[in-house]
Amino acid sequence: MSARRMPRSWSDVAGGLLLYGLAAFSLLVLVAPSLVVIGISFTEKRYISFPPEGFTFHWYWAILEKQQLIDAVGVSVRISLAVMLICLAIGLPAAFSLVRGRYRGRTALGAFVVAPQMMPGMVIGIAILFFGSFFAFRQSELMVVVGLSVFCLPFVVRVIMARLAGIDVTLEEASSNLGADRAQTFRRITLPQLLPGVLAGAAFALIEAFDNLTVALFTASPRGRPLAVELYQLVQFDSSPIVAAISTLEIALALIVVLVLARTIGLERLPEK
Amino acid sequence: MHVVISDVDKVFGGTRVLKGCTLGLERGEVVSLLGPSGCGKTTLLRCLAGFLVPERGEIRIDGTDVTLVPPNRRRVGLVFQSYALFPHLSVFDNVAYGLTVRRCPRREIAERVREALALVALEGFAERFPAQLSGGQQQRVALARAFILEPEILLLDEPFNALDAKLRGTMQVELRKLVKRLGMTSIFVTHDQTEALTLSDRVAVMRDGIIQQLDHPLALYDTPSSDYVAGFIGTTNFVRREAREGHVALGGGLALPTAVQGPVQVVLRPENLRVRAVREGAAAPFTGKVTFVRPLGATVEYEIDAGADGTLRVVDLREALAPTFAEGADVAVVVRKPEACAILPGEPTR
Repeated sequence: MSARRMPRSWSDVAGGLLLYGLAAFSLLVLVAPSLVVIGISFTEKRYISFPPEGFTFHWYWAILEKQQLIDAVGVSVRISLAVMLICLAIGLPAAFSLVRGRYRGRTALGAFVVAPQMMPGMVIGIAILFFGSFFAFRQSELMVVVGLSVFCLPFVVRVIMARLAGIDVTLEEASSNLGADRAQTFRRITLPQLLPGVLAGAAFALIEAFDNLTVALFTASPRGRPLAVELYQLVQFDSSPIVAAISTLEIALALIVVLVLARTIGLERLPEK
Repeated sequence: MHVVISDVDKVFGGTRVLKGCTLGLERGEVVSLLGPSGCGKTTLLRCLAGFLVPERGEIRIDGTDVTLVPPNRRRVGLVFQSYALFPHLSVFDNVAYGLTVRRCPRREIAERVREALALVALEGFAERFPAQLSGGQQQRVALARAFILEPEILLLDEPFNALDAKLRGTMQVELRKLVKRLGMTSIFVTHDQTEALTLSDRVAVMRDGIIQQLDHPLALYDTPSSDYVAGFIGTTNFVRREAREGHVALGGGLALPTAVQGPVQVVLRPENLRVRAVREGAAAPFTGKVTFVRPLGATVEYEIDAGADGTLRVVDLREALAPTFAEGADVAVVVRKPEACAILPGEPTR
């Protein structure tokens, strides 16, 4: 016997179709370009064209022969690790102070810390560049790190703050009542519960700093460009599918990070960008 | 005295929440802090646990002043209203927590946790997580976690609030028995008088940051020190009179001896009154009309409009098959044991 169903009205059906239609359209717009890039990365042609012809790993091997690309990956890895560490080192105490602190101007300070979130990366990049020139601070890896830290910090602070606000203070009181000192309470009670927020913030800083272009474009020195800037230069003068190969690797990297996070802490806890 | 709280003041944002609280507990004694919300009872508890530092006064445990000792160095166990179990730790690790941070040997921890869980009848639950337990089980874990450290005092902040009414009654009795078996000096905070009377050797009635009266449950009921206490514990009728020349004339020829002079309130407990038919020649302190009858079976409760004395509540013990007075009947009200009436000097303060 088939399951009985309530009769459905016309508007229900129309609404359902509309929802599916929108979902399919969004998926197409969001995913299709990535699929095109992935397809091109395996083409046997010598220039970017779609649909791809044949199948080869040639362009992936070609990456290894371009020294400036390998260098750029190294630069980006260094930068993103540094940005992540700086954001955690500043973001964790800042979030604590903003959530747990009891002092005048706490709300204003919170708004100030989170404000750069509203600013386009380009503006931050130019601002850091001009500001640095006052102190003879030139475009360099360090400047990219500074700019991206400013850019990423608000997100990191926000994720940790949200998580921290959800932790019941009486748990820490209970810990102290049971004889734990502040350090023990932090390590055994607060941190384990804060960890999803910290991980999500760290992952965000890592991914964003790795592939950010807008801030890096203005703050990176011509020698020692990060990967995003290097690729940007590359597509202007070179139309070989090597760019598509690198992009495909980046997509894979981002997917791996997201999958790992989803497995460990759950997707719903990741920050919205 | 095992625990002595003397003259403790606590100020929050310009408001004195505690005003010279003084309280002493003998070793193994169970005392309740009873009062409405906002009376300062939880604040006093937090001072004892060390989360708050009183502006004035001191707290001594076994003669040692602990007023300024941080919470983690006091041997004071606290069972939180919300239980505050660590959600990421198993029942075993929750109960073991205090021993773990003290770096006890593993084998000793395992042994003591097993004993503690047995005491609260949770032997099979060591591997569960707090979210997998019922409210009553969570409370028992919170208790075990506190008493496993053998604290000098056990503090319990509204421990039954989160439980449903049926479970609450049983847990109150269980808890009283457990605390007495462990011989632990304990302080309960509650706003529920039945809970306070069930659990405690003595009850401290608090109001506006002041301990109004500290006494045995029945003494509070029989000899309240103020109309506030009399009104807070059980139901009461207050009757206002003037005391003159060593007596309070209640009416109908009934006079109660007293040492005070001037305006007084006489505390008439409902079960110390009796309703009677009006009879010629038999004087009674009060007469009035029955306005409400609650025929409960073993007892019958009356509300009687006694004119200037207001509404009197009477709980009459009913003899088998005896008829009740009907609503609207004219009746007399007499006092069963005049010597049991408390007499409070002064005007009402409620």
